[in-house]
Parts: sequence; C-alpha cells; structure tokens
Amino acid sequence: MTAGLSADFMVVRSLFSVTAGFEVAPGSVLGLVGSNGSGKSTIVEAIAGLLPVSKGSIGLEGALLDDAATATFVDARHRHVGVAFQEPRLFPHMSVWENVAFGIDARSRRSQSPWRPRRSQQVQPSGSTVDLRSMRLRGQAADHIWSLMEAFGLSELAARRPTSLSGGQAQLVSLVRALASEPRLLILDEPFSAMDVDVRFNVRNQLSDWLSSFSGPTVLISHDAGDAFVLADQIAVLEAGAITQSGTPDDIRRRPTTRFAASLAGTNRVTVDANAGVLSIPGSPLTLLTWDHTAAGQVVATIPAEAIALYTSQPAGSPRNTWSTTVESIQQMGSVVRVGLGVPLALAVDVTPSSVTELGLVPGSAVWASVKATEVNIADGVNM
Amino acid sequence: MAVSLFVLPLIALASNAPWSSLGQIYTSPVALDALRISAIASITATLICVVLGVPLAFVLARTDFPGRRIVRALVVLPMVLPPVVGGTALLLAFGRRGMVGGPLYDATGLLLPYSMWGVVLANVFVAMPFLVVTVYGALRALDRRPEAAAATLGASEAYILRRITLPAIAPSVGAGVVLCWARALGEFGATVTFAGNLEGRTQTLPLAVFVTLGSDRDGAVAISLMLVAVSVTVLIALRERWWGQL
Repeated sequence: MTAGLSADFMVVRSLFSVTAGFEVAPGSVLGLVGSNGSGKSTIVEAIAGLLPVSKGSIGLEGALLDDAATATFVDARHRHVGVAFQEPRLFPHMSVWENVAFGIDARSRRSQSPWRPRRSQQVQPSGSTVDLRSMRLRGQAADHIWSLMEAFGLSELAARRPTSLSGGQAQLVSLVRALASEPRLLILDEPFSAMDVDVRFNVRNQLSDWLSSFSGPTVLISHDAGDAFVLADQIAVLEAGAITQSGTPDDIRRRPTTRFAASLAGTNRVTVDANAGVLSIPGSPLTLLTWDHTAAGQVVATIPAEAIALYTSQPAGSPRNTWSTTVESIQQMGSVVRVGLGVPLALAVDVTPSSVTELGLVPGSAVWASVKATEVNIADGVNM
Repeated sequence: MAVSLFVLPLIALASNAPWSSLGQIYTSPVALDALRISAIASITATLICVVLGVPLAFVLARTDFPGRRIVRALVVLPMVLPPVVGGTALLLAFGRRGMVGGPLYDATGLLLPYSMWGVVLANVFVAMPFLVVTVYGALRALDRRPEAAAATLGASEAYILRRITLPAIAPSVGAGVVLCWARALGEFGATVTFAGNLEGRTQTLPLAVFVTLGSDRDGAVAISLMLVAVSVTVLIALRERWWGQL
C-alpha cells in the first residue's frame, strides 16, 4: 500500500455499479474526468466514507479506510477527507464564516460534551472588519481560516447566509470549507461548475497555489477536461462506471484511446486509410497529409481541436490540408469555444471567444479550415 | 354556503357575548380555577410531549426496525380515535383496577384518574400525535446532504444533531409544539372520561363551558370566546406554515 491514496474497489448500487482503481501519491492531483452519470459522485461518496464499498478496499497513508474483505469501515468523521461538494451542501442557518470554520470547530471540541459548548475568549480573527459574534474559535485557528477566506475572496461574504449567495459563491464556500478542515486527503467534486468564467479562472489559480503546498493526495472530479488538465498530474477517464484510460494529461491529449477521452482532451479521432503520409477518409472526398509516413492501412488519426485554424475566405499560401466546410455547432466550454464542423469531415475546433466574434461565426457559417501536417498524428492503439 | 357554516356560529357566539361583564366572569372562581387547571395541564402535557415525542419522531423517521409501520400507525391513532374511547381506554389501563394503574396504586398510592395528573395524561394521549407527526414530517423532508457534509468535516453524531439537524427542524418543532398545546387546551372527551369534571381539581376550560352552558349561559359564552381568541392566535402564529400552502 502506498503512502498516498490507494483505491481499488467496486460499489454496487441499485441501478448501476462503479469500479475504480487508482493511486494518488502525496502532494499530487488525480483528475477523474467523466460525463454525468459516469459514477463520479459514487466514487466521491465511497472515498469520503458516506457509502461503503461492495468489493475491494480504500487506503490512505498506509491504513485501510474501507475494506470489504475484512469488514473494515472508518466513519466519515474520522477519515479527515475534505470534500468540496458540487451541490455545495452548506449549512443554511449558519453564516459563511461559521460554515468555513465548522470543521475546525467540530474537531476541536470533539472530546467535549457537544451539549455544553465552551465559549472562548477571542471572538474575532484579527483583521476582520465583519461582525462575527457567533464564532467560537480561538485566535490562531481563527486567523488561519480568516486568511484562507481572504485569499479566496470570501472575507467580504463572511457574515452572509448561504441563501443570499449566488451558486458560484456557494460553491466557493464549500471549497474553502474543505480546505480549512485540515484534510489529509482532498476531494474536489466539480469545484468550479457553478462559477462564472472569470471567477473560475481566479479561483483555479488560487487553488493551484494552495495545492502546491498541500502535502496530501487530491482527487479532482470534473466533466470539464480544461480544469483537470490544468490542475492534475494524472488523469483517469471514467465512462459508464469504469475507468477506461489513465495517464498523464499529455498521454490523454496525444493518445486518447476512446472517443470520449478524445473529446475531453479536445482531440479529434478520425478513422482513415493511410498510405505514405496521405490519409484518405472513407466516405469523404477529403484527404489529409500527416508527418507520419510509417503508418499504413486503416488507422486512427488524431488532430488536436486547438490545432485547426478557421478562416472566412480561402487562406493564401500553403494549400495543403485546407478545405471549405460549414459550422454546425458552437458551444462555450470553459474559457474556449468549441466549434463543430460539418461535411466533408466532422471535427471539433477550439477557438477563443474573441475569434468567434471576429470571424462572425454562427451555426451555418461557411468557413475554411486548415491544419498543419505536423499536427496530424497517428494513434498507437485503435479502440473505437 | 360552506363558509357561512363555519362563520355563522362564530357570529352567534360573538353577538351573544356579555361584553360588559366579561371581566367579572373571567375573575369568577369557576373561570379562574378552570383557567389555572387548563394552563397547568396543557403546558405540562406539552412539555411531556416534547420530551417523549421528539425522540419518538427521530426513531420513526431515521431508524428501521420490524413493525415500524405499525408503530407509526399506532402513534397516529389517537388523532382519529373518538376522545371518549381514548379516555375509556386510559381508564382501563391506568384506573384504580387497571392493568398499570392497579399495581401503581398498590406500590405508590398514586391515583391517576380524577386528578390533575389524569388531566395531563389525557392531554398527552390526545395531543402528542400532533407533535410527533409534525416533527416526523420535517425529518423525512429534511435534506440530509448537509449532515453528510458535516460528518466529513469531523462532526460527531451528537454535534451534527445539535448544530445541523435540530436548527434545521426547529420551525417544525415550534409549529408542532403550538399545535400540540392547542389540542391539549381544547381537550374534552378523554379528559372528562378519564379525569372527570371536578371543579377546582380537574375541570378545564372546555369542561367549564359545557357545565355552565345549562346554568349560566353568559359564563359559557365568555369562556368560549376566550378559547376562540386562543385558537385565532394559534392560527396567526402558524399562518405562514398553512396559509402559504393554500
């Protein structure tokens, strides 16, 4: 068993089952990427101790948290797993400050009778301008939490109630609440899904800073590959309750083994007939050139979505790998816009929001597409 | 027409009220005794209902044991049972020669029927379901995900109960307490059957209304008006809970 998190388990629920096996070293971040219904929430609940595993085990720092074989099950409250919940699960009758301080508060008074809370002397963290009368923590711990809230821009909201927060703000409170609980393991369940694009960017940077000094393992759950690729050291792709591919972000980007992994990574997978660097596409008049002259026969070519350039008129210069097509769909995906191209070849193209405006792209627009031969790769494994 | 069915009797009550002598009637020994007994019995009964009923609601809502549905049905039974039948049953159980009452009397000399404790017991029997059902409903409807979040943050079960669960259901507990108390205050059938109608000992306000109606109509109307005022106050206190749903 490793020093970090090691999970190899199966959870059987009434309508589906989830199988997962992965290890996360101390200080590193695993990005668990999958679409809705792929079993992400079940994995969160199993690791957090809210749901026992049906088979296999979960271990942290060399000790078993859950083991079906020996009927070991450590209660959620003894696991020290900080969870940033997607549906933020805030405590509605407490202020933002009380929510964030809850973990430290609960653990510091564990040995005392919960029916007779001891009031402590210091009532406010130094530097606080907000009235926090209901707070019960002592100086140092309070200051620590306060500085964490300041770093994430939550100090202004400290006295507010969760009901008065936006969805993104509530999600941020849930994230900071998890960070403040002194976790041994951190689970971030879609931590940015309800945040606006600019807020998401700032919070992600701040979180990245925080994670760089965090000594425990982190599991980041996301349906948005962008967040996972930025924050994670390792990626595991989850489809229909099972992990279908795992590797470094670069591995996934370059060699996605399933269609879903490819679309997550922003890479197109196209089945082609290769012959000396010329790729002909079955059912399409288009041919593409690749740098890879070794492949022959039916292979899968991968083209990164960001490597395809779009023009409103035929680009001057290199006529190779340039074709005329139409825009079929336009979808905002985090900080990029994913444009879907139609005949002669269905491809996903990632562009910036400003270039959508500049090119005047709408569904149905006629455009020219172009990709360099050096960006057209041949995948190792064929597994459509 | 349906509405007038509810409204007309109230108008009749108000128009027959001896407005000028209200103060005099309310300070008469009969009214004061009944008021004292009603207040003590209904408040004591409500306290007992809270102490016993809230834990019962938790057990019914949160645990699974064989026969849970049967217990739940039994708890609700007094709500639909004719109170006189309830009083009779109480008499057979806690009376001088009752299943429990007999041994209790032999051991301690305590006699529940025809005593203040008898009034309290009758009130508890009839009113507790209102509290249990209200708290049970709140617990079943409660979003339990914040409790799970609190557990991941290291909170013990008692700590979660005190800082998460109870504050979340507090409004429902409050509503249940008010309902329970109002039902206890208005209790007639079980009380008169089990505790009798002894002026100054077990005669509550509703019993006083019934007794004085034959001899002193003004007195009966005046005490009725007092109970109407209490009922209206309860309605106003719970208005958001009920009227919001209409």
